[in-house]
Amino acid sequence: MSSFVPFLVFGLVFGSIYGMAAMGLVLTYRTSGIFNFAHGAIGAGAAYVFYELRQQQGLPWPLAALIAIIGFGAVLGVLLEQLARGLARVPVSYQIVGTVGLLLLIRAMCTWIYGSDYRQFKSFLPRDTAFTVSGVAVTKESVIIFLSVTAAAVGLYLIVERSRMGTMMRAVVDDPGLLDTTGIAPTRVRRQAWLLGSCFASASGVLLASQQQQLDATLLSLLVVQAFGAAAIGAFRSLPMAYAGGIVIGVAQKLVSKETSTHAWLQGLDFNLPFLVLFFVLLVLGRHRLGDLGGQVRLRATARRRGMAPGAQWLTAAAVLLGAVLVPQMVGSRLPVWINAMSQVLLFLSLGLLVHTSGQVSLCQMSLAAVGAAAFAHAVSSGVPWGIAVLLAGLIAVPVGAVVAIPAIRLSGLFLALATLGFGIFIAQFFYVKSYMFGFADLHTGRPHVLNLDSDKGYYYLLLAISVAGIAMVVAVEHSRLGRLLRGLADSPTALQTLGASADVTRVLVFCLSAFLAGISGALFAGQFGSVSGTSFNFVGSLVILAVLAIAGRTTVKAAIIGPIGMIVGPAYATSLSDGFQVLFGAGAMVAAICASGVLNTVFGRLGALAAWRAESTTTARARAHAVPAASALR
Amino acid sequence: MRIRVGQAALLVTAVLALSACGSRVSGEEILVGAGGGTVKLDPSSVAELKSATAGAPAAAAPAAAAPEAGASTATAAAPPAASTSAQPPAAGTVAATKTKPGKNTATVSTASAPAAASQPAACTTPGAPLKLGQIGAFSGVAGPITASARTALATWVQDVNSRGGVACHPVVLYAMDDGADPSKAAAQVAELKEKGVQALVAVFDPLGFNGLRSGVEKAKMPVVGGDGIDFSWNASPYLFPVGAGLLGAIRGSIHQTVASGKTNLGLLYCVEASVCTTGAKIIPPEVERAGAKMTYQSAISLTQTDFTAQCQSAKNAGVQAMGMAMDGASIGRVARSCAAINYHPQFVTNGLVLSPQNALDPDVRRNTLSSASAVAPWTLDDTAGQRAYHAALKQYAPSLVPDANSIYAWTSGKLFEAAINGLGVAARGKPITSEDVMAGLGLIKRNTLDGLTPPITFTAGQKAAPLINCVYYELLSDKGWTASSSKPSCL
Repeated sequence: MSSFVPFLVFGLVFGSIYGMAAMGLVLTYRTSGIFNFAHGAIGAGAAYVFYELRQQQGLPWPLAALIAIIGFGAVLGVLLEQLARGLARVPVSYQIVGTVGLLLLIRAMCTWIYGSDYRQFKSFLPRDTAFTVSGVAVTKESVIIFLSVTAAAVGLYLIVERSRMGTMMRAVVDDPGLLDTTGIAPTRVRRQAWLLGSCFASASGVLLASQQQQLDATLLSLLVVQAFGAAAIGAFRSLPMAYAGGIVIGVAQKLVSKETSTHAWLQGLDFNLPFLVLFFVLLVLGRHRLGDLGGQVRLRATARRRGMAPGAQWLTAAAVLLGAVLVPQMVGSRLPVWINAMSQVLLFLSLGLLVHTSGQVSLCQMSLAAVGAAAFAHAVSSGVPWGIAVLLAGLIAVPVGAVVAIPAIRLSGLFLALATLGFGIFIAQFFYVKSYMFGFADLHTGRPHVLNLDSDKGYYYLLLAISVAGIAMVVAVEHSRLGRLLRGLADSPTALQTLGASADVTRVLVFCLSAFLAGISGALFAGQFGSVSGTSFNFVGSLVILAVLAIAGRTTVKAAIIGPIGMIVGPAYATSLSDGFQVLFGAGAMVAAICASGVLNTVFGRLGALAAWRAESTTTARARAHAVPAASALR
Repeated sequence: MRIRVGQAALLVTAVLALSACGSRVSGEEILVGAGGGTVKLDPSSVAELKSATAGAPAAAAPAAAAPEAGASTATAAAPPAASTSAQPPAAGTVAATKTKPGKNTATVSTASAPAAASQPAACTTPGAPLKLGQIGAFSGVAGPITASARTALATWVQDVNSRGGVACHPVVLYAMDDGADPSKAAAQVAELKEKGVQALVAVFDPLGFNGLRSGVEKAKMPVVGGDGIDFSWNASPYLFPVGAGLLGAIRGSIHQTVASGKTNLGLLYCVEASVCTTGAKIIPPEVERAGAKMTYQSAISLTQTDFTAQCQSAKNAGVQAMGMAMDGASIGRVARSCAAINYHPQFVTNGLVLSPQNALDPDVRRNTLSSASAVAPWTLDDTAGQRAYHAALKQYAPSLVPDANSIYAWTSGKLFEAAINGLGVAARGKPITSEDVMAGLGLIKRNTLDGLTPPITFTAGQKAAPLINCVYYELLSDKGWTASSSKPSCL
């Protein structure tokens, strides 16, 4: 038993920090309906503020902590409440895009200002031994962190459950309209909740940085991903359960790590535990038990989009195609970048099909592409002809897509996105290194050795042809019965079912089709340089692609063409911007998300009305959002 | 009112963004510092390069001949063609160079200039500019680690030009950042080829290397030296590594560890990068081969916040030295997690993964970290080659802390220099081509570059560079980086 004690001790300390982050997350989600993917990034921002004040400006740590946790947290909380109000009027897919954009923005800003190298973060709590358990020295810092976090958790619970403010917070969840009629503005209550939630995020960021004595924007931003599993245990509603979930995950991680250390095939399971928990808890609970607070506004207008006249459409398509054909003649030495971009067209199509056509969000597209890339590499190495290997790559990704469709059946909106995120991270961090995927070394790949297709120009034109075929297929799907079903799925799954169509079958179909496209995209990417590894398919890439997709436009085909250009070609040309592109992607995604409500149209035309709307409660805003003509709401 | 608050927030964001810009190097400095490329040199290094050359003897500058016909705009954007890419940017300096074309002849640098030994004779006529490229992952996660390699190569360019250039050809350097993107690396190789670049030198691109390799093989452009962290370095006719490759470094590290009496070894490797997982594939059999035992091995994530479980398991398994296939930041976190359970195994890794900032980490130093490297220790100045390296850094980039990456880059420059000088007088009278560079490299026989490397031998028309199993050892401890010998240890 004593051999487990050290694992328990450290599991408790880190679990408490996860729990704290999860509570802040649950609080803001419960009160606003907006799930904040940037929760960890707020912690990262606060840790940088603390570092700046204490280590760069020489302020005493209590003052620096006060400013970083209370001051920074409060300011950001107020701003986030404004953002949440903007996002309250958009479909849940764009709510996700908005907060993912914020995550990318904060992370990129920290890196931009302080560089990508980590900074030494001087611990401000005493690190000498408090006591010893089974030979393990427990530091005073660990004890203080655990106790203070637990106290904060209890305090938050008491505030929410026992105080007047808590009553109002619960009321704003249950019936904001009724709360409005009592003379209490739901907006004010939500602001208080955001303020509290942000302070919790800030505190967890500062404490984690102190515990690690290291300041790393990416690492701290992703803290929240660990906290997702904890929040899931609390069904995204219960604060005490979210805290307990953090503790459970923290301790379980350590214990699993101890047990898996002697089994090579299980290695990696420990640090993937939060994502597995997230995936399975969501799957078990299902949408009915979870609810979907932010899911009221649906992506219904895509079905009624007002496009160009058919003639103009054909003309535009011909012009774009002509431009694509002329690329090798015009871009000179940068052709490899365009080839890379062309390999991503199908990946954007695959995501666009989900987001734009069927109103679902997947945060694991990179992992699906990785499955295709690995399958392609294995097939090519086994002597399978190139074309068949590409096709196989797509087909092998299909069953994986079907697995992703299981949560799609059980879940919707936000929770589907979270489940796919957990699934994607698990594939990336557990399966990539297995021999049936990339294994421990680069896999050999190649281009077809016929008709000069292995030259850059030849490969570009091959990819162009495949991309055109993919676009034609998606357009055909969108105009087919399946397309109408998908749009119906985006509008109202219930209505779809009442018409006798199966929403579940439609979901499975679209996920399989999406996985097929993503798998082929992975194969085309892998074929570029003669070798491929999992390094190219980082799970953070799935978040970036979603952000870029939102910026690139709201129709599947347009986004699939503009997206890769913005994500790959743009940075290759504007080299001086470098990290600045991440800032642009983050900020752009936020703007795109907010504008999904059609607010841009009203900004110019009805500034006065906008001001009036902002003074109203979110409830009224939501009601009005439904009244906004579809064409302006989601075009 | 609320709109005003929103506007204020936007304003604050904009100010923050602009203030961030202020902390970066301006475009002009970038062009000057790196010779028309797009990388960001550390501001202090740029300033030092400026001031060092501004104060350098005028005669030390190489011939300021007009750019060769067809010289690229990038060259024009840089200081005058004959001046180096790393030439200082001040207008005055440029003007001075332009106004003294006649004097810029064949003068080997004065006593203040380091190591001119490899320059065979004075140049009487300046040759056409020798255009070199450097591609690397100079931004993003790898940026802080590779930064010193960028500055060190710019320093070498300054140094060699102060001695009249390479075989009387003034060197112009185009340094480019591919952001670890293979497609960008391939495109940049093609772009450099269009600019007339004859070779790449000191490539530091472990994450985008497959694209780079594909690019240089298409362009038939030799790559002279770099990080060596990829088996491809010894698998292509166009790649010429300095010293031992990845396998040699791993074997050397294990040999050193076992020789120091540590026979129970462990390994932690990250799952995110193939550079890490490659280690997981080849280290265990090498450990067995060295007569030691791999008693613990575990995958980790670079985003993992705590490693106490891994440390505890390694401690239980009696691990005395732990191989660390991960980035420097993660090594620091592992050190702290292990310290929390009072466990301090020696870490073993490649010194190239540590930035100078990583090397300051007190917890890592407490554990001690050993490294085997392909080139002579950067901490010593026993050989002429090491002394030249230190002297050049002192003169041109005094704030640059010597480290593994910078001496690898410097040594790459010296290898290139040796290859061209090996062509003899024939190299002086005509523009150097990529074929000439390849031919010169083929003449390198048992060359130690004044004690910077184990004997290096290349063969004309070789299909791949031969493996070298000779390495040098360094140790990071409370005293910082130290090394006991500048003699290579051959396995």
